Amino acid sequence: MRMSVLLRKNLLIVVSSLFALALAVAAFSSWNLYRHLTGEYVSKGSAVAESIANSGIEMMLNRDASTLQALIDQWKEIEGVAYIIVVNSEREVISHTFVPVVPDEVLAVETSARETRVNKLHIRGKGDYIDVSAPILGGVIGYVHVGMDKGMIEKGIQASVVGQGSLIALILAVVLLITYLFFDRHVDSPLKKLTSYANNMLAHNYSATAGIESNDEFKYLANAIEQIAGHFQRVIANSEQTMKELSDTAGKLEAANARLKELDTMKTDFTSTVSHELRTPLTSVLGFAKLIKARLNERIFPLIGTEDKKTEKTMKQISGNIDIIISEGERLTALINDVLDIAKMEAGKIEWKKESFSAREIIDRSTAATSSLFEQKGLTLLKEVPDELPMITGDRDRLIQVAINLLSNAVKFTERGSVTFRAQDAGGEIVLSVTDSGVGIAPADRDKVFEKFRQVGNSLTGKAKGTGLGLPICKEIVTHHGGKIWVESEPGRGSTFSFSIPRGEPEAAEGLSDMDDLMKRLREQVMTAIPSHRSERKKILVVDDEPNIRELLGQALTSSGYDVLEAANGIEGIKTAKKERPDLITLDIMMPEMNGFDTAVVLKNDPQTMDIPIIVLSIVEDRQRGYRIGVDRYLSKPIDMDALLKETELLLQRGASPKKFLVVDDDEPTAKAITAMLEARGYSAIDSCCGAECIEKAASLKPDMIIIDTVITHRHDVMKTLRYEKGMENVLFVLLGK
Amino acid sequence: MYLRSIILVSCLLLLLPFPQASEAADIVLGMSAAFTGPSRGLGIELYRGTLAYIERVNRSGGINGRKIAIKAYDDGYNPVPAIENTIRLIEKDNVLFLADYVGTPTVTRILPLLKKYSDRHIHLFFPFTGAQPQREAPYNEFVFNLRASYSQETAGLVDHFLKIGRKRIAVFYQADAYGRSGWEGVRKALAGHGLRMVGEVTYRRGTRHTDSLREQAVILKKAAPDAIISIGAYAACAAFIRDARDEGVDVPIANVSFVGSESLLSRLMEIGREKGKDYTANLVNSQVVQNYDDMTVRAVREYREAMDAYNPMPPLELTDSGYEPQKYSYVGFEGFLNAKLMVEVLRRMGNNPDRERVRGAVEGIKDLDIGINTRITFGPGKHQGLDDVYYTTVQQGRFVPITDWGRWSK
Ligand SMILES: Nc1ncnc2c1ncn2[C@@H]1O[C@H](COP(=O)(O)OP(=O)(O)OP(=O)(O)O)[C@@H](O)[C@H]1O
Ligand SMILES: [Mg+2]
Repeated sequence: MRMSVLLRKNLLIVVSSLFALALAVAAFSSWNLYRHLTGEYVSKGSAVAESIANSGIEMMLNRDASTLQALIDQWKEIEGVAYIIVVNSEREVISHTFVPVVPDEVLAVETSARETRVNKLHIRGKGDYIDVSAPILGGVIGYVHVGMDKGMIEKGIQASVVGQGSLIALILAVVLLITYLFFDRHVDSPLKKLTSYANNMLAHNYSATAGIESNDEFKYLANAIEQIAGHFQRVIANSEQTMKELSDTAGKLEAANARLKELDTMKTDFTSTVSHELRTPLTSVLGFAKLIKARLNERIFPLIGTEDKKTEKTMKQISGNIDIIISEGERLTALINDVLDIAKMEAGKIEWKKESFSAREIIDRSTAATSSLFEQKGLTLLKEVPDELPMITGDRDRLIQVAINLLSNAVKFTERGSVTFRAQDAGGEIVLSVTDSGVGIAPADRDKVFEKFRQVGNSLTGKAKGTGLGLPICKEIVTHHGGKIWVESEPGRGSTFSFSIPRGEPEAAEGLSDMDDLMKRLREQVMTAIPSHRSERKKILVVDDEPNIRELLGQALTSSGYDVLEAANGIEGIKTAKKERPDLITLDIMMPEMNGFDTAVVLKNDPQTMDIPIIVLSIVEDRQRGYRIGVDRYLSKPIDMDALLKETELLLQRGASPKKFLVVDDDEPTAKAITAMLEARGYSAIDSCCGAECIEKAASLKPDMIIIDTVITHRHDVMKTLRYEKGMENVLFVLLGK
Repeated sequence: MYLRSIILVSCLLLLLPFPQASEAADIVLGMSAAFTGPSRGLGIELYRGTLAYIERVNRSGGINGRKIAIKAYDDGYNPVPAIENTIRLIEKDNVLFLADYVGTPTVTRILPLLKKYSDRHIHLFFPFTGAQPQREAPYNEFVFNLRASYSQETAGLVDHFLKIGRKRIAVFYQADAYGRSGWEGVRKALAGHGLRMVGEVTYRRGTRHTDSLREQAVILKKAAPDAIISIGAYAACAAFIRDARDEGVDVPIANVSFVGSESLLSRLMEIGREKGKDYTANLVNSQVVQNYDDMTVRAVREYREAMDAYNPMPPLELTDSGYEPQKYSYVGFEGFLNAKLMVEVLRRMGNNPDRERVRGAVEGIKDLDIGINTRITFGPGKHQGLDDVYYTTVQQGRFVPITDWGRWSK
C-alpha cells in the first residue's frame, strides 16, 4: 500500500522536527559531557600525579628506577592515563611510559615548583592530551607529568552520543509508527477512499458511494461530494437529452448545407454553361455583323449611288441598324463576360497572376482606357497622385479593371463637374480613390452596391446602363489581393469609391516570370527588328467545330489577304495540316472527337507540323497548359478580330515559330528559371553562363533568339561578335535589364 | 578478556584433582610464570629445569619420605595475573614458599604482597629476574636470589665494550620495570666512566617476533651507536635484531640473561630461514649461569642426565599448543640449579619444614657446593647466591662462551 502524498509530507515534517530536536539534545549533552569528562580527567590526573610525587620522594632518593617504573606502570593502568613521566631536578628523564621515545613536547611543558599544573598538550603524530604536572618535594627532586588522553574523552562522548542517538532513533521510529498508523487510519485511508470515489465520478460512475464511516470532516466531505454527484447525475441526464436534440439538428443542418453547396455548384456550372452557350452564337452574330458592316462599307455602298435620297436614307438606316446590332452585341458580350467572371471568381476557378508592378501603372492605364468616356461626356479627370508610388504585387490587369470600373461608374453617374483620381501611400497599403460630383448614393444603398445585380436608384427614371456586376467583381478582385473596397457618398453631391491594396514585397525575377510579358517584349522586338513585308499569300488553317465560327474566321482572314483552310475537329485538322502544310493554325479547344490541347500536342510533336505556329482561340482559360504544350498564342473568345489579325501577321512574319532560345545570364538561378519557363512553353532553350561560352554555343546551335543579360553584353560585346563576325544577322536578341 | 580467561582456567584447575597434590605430596612450592604468550619459553624452560631435579629427588624417595610438588600458574608475563596467582598460592594452596617467578614487572608487583603476608612468613625463591627492587629494601628480606643482578650484567657488558673502544652505547629496552632496571644499569655503568648513552628507545611488553620494530631500529640508527644493549624478551629482541640488521645497523647487539638465549636463537634462525639471511652475527648474550655444554662441570652433567631421563613438561592445561621445547638451555640450567638449592633448604629444615623456619634455613647456607665453579653463601642481609656473569656469542648455531672480545674492537 503506497503512502498518500499528504501522509508522506506530514511524516517528513514529524521526522525532520524530531531529528532537529535530537540533534540539539545530542549537541547539548555532548558539550556537557565534554566539560564534565574534562573536569573529571583533570582531577583524576592531578590525583595520580600528586600520589606519584609523594611516593616518588622516597623512591627517587633511596630506590632504583625500576621500582619507580613499576609504580608508574601501575598508575598508567588507570583509565584515561595516557602517559606518565618522571624527571629529576636537572630535567633528565628517570622513568617514563613512552614507546619508542619521549616526545620533546612533553619535556617542554612548563611546570611549577609550588603547585600542580594543568596544560593542554598536543603531541605530533599522537594526539591531544591534558598534561598534569606535580612537583616532587617542591621540585627539588623532580617533577611528575601525567598525561590524560583527550581521545578517550572523545571516545566517551562518541559512545554516549551513539547511545543517545540510538535511543532517539528508537523513539523516533516508535513515534513515526504511531503517526503512520494514526494517519493511515484516520486521514490516509479516508483520503484514499475519497480519491478513488472522485476517480469514479471522473469515470462517470455516479452511483458509487464513498464508504466513509468515521464521524468527522471526512464524512461531511464525502456527504457533500455524494450530493454533488447526485446533482451531476441529473444534470448529465438532462444534457444528454439536449445533446441528442442538438446533434439531430446538426445532422439536418449538415444535410441542408450539403444540399445548398450542391445547389451553389449547380448554379455556378449553370452560369458558366449558359454563358458559354450564349457566347458562341454571340461571337457569330457580332462577327458577322461587323463583317456585314465592313462589306457594306467597302463593297456595297460604293456601288449604290448616293443621288437617290431614299436610297441614301435606307443605306443610313441599314448602317445605323448594324451599328446597333454591333453595340448591343458588344454589351451582351460584356455582360456575359462579367457574369462568367464573377461566377468563376466565386467558384475560385480563376487564374490569378502574381506580378510585381508599380501602382502608377494602374492609374496610367485605367485613365488611358477611360479617356474617351470622359471626352464623350465632357467631364474632366483630375489626378492627385504623389511622385513616388510603391510597387505592388498581384494581378495587374485585374486591378486595372477595378480602376476602370470605378472611373466608368463615376462618368456614368455624373452629369456635371469633375472626377478626381487620388492615390495615397498609406504605410502598408496603397489607397486609390475615385471621387465624383454626381448623383451620389443614399446611405441605405451604400452597402448594396457591392452586391451582385444591384443597381441602386430608380431604374425607371435613371437609365440603368450596365449589369450591376462591376462593383461585385471589383470587390472580388480587391478582396483577393487582401485589400478593401468601400464607398463614401452624399446623395446629390457625389461619391467617393476607394480601394486599398497592400504593398507587396517585390519577388525575385518576378518581372520575368510571366511568359506573356516576355512574349510581349519579344513581339515588340520583332516588330521593330523586321520590316513588315508580305511576299506571297499565306495559308491559314482554321480548326473549329462551330461552322459559324469557321465561316466568320474564314471570311475575316480571307478579306485580310490570307488563304483559309477549314477543319471541323482535331483529327481533321491534323490531317489537313500534314497535307496542306499551312503557314498558321487557329485552334479551338472545346471540340468533339479530339480537343484542341490534344491536337496541339500532336501537331507540335510531329516533325512535319511542329514548325507551324498555332493560335488558340477558346473560351477555355488554360493558357498555362497551352504554352506548356507549345502553342504560340492563346486568345480568348469572343474573338477580338483586330488582335487575331495582328498576332497572325506577327507569327507569319517570324516564319517558323522560334524554337531555339539561348539564355545568357551570369546569374545562374535566373538563367535556369528562364530556361525552365521557356521549356515549359515548348521551346528548346539552352542556358549558358558567360560571354565566351555564349558565342561558342550560338555558333554551333544557331538559335532563333538569344535572351541576354545587358550586363553581359556590356562586358563582352557579344552582340557585335555574333552579328557581324559570325554572320548571324537574323538572330533575334532580347536584352534583359535588371 | 585475557585476564578473565586466565582466572577461569585457574579456577577450573583448582577443581581438578592434581596428581602431584593428591599423591601425598607433602611439600608444595608455588610458581607463577609465563606459560603462554611471547615469553612462554622462559616460564616453560625454567619449570622444566627445576622439575628435572625435583623429579630426581622425588624418585629417590623425596625428602625424608616426602615428595616435592610444584604448583604452577600462568601469568603470561603480566603483573595483574601474577598478583592474583600469588594470592591464591599463599591463601588457597598454602604453599611452603614461592619459587621460580619469571620477570621483573611481575615480580616487582608482587613484592608488596610478600611484605603484607610477612606474618605468614612467605618467601620468594630465586625469581628469574636481575632487577633491583627485590634486591633492595624493603623487600630484599623476603626474597632469595641465586643469579647476578641486571646491573651486574649490564655493567659487565658496558665494561667490555668500553675496553674494545665501543664507547657510543645505545639502549633498546622494554617499557616497564624490567627495561628500566637494565636501562638504569647501563646508565649507571656509563656514568661511572663519565659517559652517557647515545640513544635510547623502548618497546611495548608483549611485542611478538612478527611485529615490526623498524621505528625503533631507525631511531637508534640515527644515534650511530658503537654497540646496542638490549633489555628485552626474546620475541621482541629477535624482531629488533631483524629490523636493526635490515636497516643496516651491524654493530654488536648485546642481550641480558633474561632473554633466554636458546629461544632468541630459534626465533632468529626461523626469521633467517624465511628471509634467507643470517641474523645471528655480532650478538653478545650475557648469562648468569655457566655454559651447559661444559661437561667438566658436575652440575651440567647432572642437569643433562636429568633432562635426558625425565624431560619433564609443564601440565598441559597451563600452556597453549605449538611450543617446541629446548633440549637444554641456560634458563633450564638456571631452573635446575634453583631446584638444587631449594631442595638443600628443604633438607636443612628436616622432617617438618614450615614457613617460619625457611629464612633461617637459607641464611644458614655457607660455602655450599652445588656442583658449579662457585660456592654459595647466604646470610642475613645477603640474599643473593651468585655474582658471576658469563658472556656468550653465537657460533655454528649455538651460544658459546666468548674467548676473544678483540674481534669487535674498534
Ligand atoms: N459613382 C457612382 N455614383 C452613383 N451611383 C453609383 C456610382 N457607382 C455605382 N453606383 C451605383 O451602384 C450600382 C452598381 O454599380 P456597378 O458598377 O456594379 O453596376 P453598373 O455600373 O450599373 O453596371 P456594370 O456592370 O456595367 O458596371 C450602379 O448601378 C449605381 O446605381
Ligand atoms: Mg459599372
